[in-house]
Amino acid sequence: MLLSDLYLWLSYSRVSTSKINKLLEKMSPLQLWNSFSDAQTYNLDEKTLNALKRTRSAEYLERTKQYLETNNIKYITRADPAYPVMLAQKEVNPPPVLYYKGNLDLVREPCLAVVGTRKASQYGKYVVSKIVSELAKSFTVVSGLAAGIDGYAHAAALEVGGGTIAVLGSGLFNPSPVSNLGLYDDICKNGLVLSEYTPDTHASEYTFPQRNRIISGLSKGVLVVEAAAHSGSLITANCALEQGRDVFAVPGDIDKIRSVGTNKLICQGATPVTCAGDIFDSYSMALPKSESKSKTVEIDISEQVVLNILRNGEKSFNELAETCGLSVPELNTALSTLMINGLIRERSKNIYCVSI
Amino acid sequence: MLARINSYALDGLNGYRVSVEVDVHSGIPKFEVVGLPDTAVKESRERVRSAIKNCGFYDTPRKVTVNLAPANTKKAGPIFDLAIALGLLCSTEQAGIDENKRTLTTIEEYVFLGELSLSGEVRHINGVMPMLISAREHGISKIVIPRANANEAKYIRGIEVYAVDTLADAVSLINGNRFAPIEKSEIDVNSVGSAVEDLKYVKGQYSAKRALEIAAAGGHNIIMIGAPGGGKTMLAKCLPGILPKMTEQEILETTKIHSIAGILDEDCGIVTTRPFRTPHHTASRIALTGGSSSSRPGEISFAHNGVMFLDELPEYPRSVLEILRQPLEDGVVTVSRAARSVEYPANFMLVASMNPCPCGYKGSATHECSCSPSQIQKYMSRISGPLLDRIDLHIEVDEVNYDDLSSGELAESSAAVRERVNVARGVQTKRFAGTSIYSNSKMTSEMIKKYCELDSAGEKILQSAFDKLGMSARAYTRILKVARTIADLEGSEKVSAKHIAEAVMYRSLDKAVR
Repeated sequence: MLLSDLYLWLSYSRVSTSKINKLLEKMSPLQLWNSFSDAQTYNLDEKTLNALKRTRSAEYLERTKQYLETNNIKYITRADPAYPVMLAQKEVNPPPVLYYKGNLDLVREPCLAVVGTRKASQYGKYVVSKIVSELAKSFTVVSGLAAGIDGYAHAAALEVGGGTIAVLGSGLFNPSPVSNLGLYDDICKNGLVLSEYTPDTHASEYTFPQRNRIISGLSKGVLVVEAAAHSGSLITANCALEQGRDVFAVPGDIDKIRSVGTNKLICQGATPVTCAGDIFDSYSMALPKSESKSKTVEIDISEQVVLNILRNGEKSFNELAETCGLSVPELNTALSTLMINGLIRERSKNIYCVSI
Repeated sequence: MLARINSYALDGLNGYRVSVEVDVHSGIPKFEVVGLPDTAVKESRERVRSAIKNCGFYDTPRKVTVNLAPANTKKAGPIFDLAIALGLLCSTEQAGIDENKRTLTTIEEYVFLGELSLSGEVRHINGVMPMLISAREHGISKIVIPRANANEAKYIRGIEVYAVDTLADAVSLINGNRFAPIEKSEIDVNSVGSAVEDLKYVKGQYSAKRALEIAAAGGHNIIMIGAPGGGKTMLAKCLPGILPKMTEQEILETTKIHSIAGILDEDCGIVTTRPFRTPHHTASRIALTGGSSSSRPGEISFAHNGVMFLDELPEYPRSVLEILRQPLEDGVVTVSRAARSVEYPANFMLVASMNPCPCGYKGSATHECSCSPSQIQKYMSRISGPLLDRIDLHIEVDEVNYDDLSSGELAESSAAVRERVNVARGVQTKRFAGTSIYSNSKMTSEMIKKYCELDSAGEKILQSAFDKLGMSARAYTRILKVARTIADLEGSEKVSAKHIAEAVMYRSLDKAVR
């Protein structure tokens, strides 16, 4: 019996990872396998015993391996030297097997988790794309493929050609949400999708909090972008603390529901992050060289007027129309040209500000 | 004796001649109508008999057979009443004869249309305008219609139209008495639509007002997205006040449809201002496209050359919205039923409004949105991509703040905006003279290539807009068309970079996809 097959057995028994790890503290996987043939009874509850018994067959495991191969799903067990070192730590509660699609080499590069609320605001989206596009040059970006911040983080990393890892809360056959399926395919091709659950597992309310420990476990640190008071991202942040990872948080307005969680993290000692540089500093890493956009943009008078007003703070379209002295068509043209040239951006609907 | 009276009927927008044959012969007293009559036609026998009696003629207690030829098309409505009554009077020799009891031939020159009341009065009927136009094409020179329809008939030249008040008038006409045909008049293309709201009372909303102006000038479809209470409906209600004046051709086309449906203003007689239709979201598919057994035109045809406003777009059933796709593209709707298929023009400008999410406050500065991503996705998915594809302008309508509401200052009035719109539409009418389209929004790919040629600066800005703002390819021709209208509003011959830049601003839904 190969050690890797034994781990596969443990994974396919679908006994919870923490129970398996408790058992493995007492004995090796091989001992466990053999103990069943001796008809020896251990301190196991009936359910666990049955689950392990049901899947304890060499033939079953052989079929399973074939099944995984035909479905093009690769797996790595704890017996494998390539198993991510960061995960093997005891605090992480390492799963016996990781199922994955894509490039596994990414886990050996320095990873950083970027997580946040599913109900992201325009601001959150902007912050993620801004910071992650910098981070992705030096880090592999780890996140959970959820809607909102998670999805934006993956997309931003892929956009700049960086590596990204999506850790699913379900089996690889059932990625969710539907809106991110396109992204899932992209990550399979250009990144890494992994899950501790057997491929046909469906997501449940227990699986998502569980996978958060893997997101933080894989990473050197966790960056929380937007989180409400009881957000799942805070679970990830807690996991990170237990595992001895760093926690970063992007501060937000104190009156916004989506900032309560991140602001609380900062109060509790998380490092506030306002730009990618803050994270590079805390790891004493040099800022990656950005291709300096020294491209000068020609600006005409009306655009200059608008830009000057916006430099003093964000303004809505109506405020601009009343103060800038331009006609509405002129103002529209000026705003549009400035946006196309990347000098300003629409912060939320009809509200404009200077891009940083 | 057999009498034959000419009448007219409608098949879709086209009329055809119906011969009303009345025969009185011996037998058990009976009144039979044949030739595929519907209930309204069958019931005409009761109206006809009473009208005859009440006009001082006598009703014959013999067997009467009425045939509506051709016998294979369905006849609907009460328009044959007058012809049947005259036929009955002629066949009983109470009319159409001179003092020597010789049959007069005058009756064959006329076509009779009209519904009778029991008192013998001739009442208003639907569809007079298209029937007159068809009759003129078929070489008919004299037609008798109810007095109530005289207003719509006076604009059709090349045919003598006689208006009658009662059955007795019609009898007197066929007895050889001379009547004066109704006087023709010119179509007044300069009448101004009466809008419920005026733009001068709309506070703030500069961007939205500008977008409405562009939409009105180029006939572009427009969607307004915003939180509740932002004034989307009010803005839409201002629209009739800034729509460009109609051309004579457009007036006739629209009047024809309104005439068939019976929604014409009797006093005015024609549609001189662009129709503004607002079907409720409980409207059925048939109500929108037209159809039913009588193939009546629907709301989208009523809005021909005008505006159809769909308030709260996602509340409409998806099946109802999807049927708009083909008319939006082709400008016609084909209503096909087992018996026949009718084509109605439906060249309308779609104006829609919606909230950004079910609760209405997504992206709002004052309220937190309480919708989950899946709720928002579900809400947005009620409007299909292909439908959004056909909408040129998307605008975000802001919430109005208190300062704006309380300020006594008046904005630019609808009349001033309408001036500019008229000028821009005039340019387009000249440009598209000789083609089948009237406005920039309906340009074909070939015309876009010809009239929206860009200089290098324009190309460059469009290119970077696509790269920077993540525009989808579908936006490309839409932006060009809108830019053409913006250039027309400015009186510019060429589409330049600044027109493109402004047009890009009105694609908020494309940008949101990013």
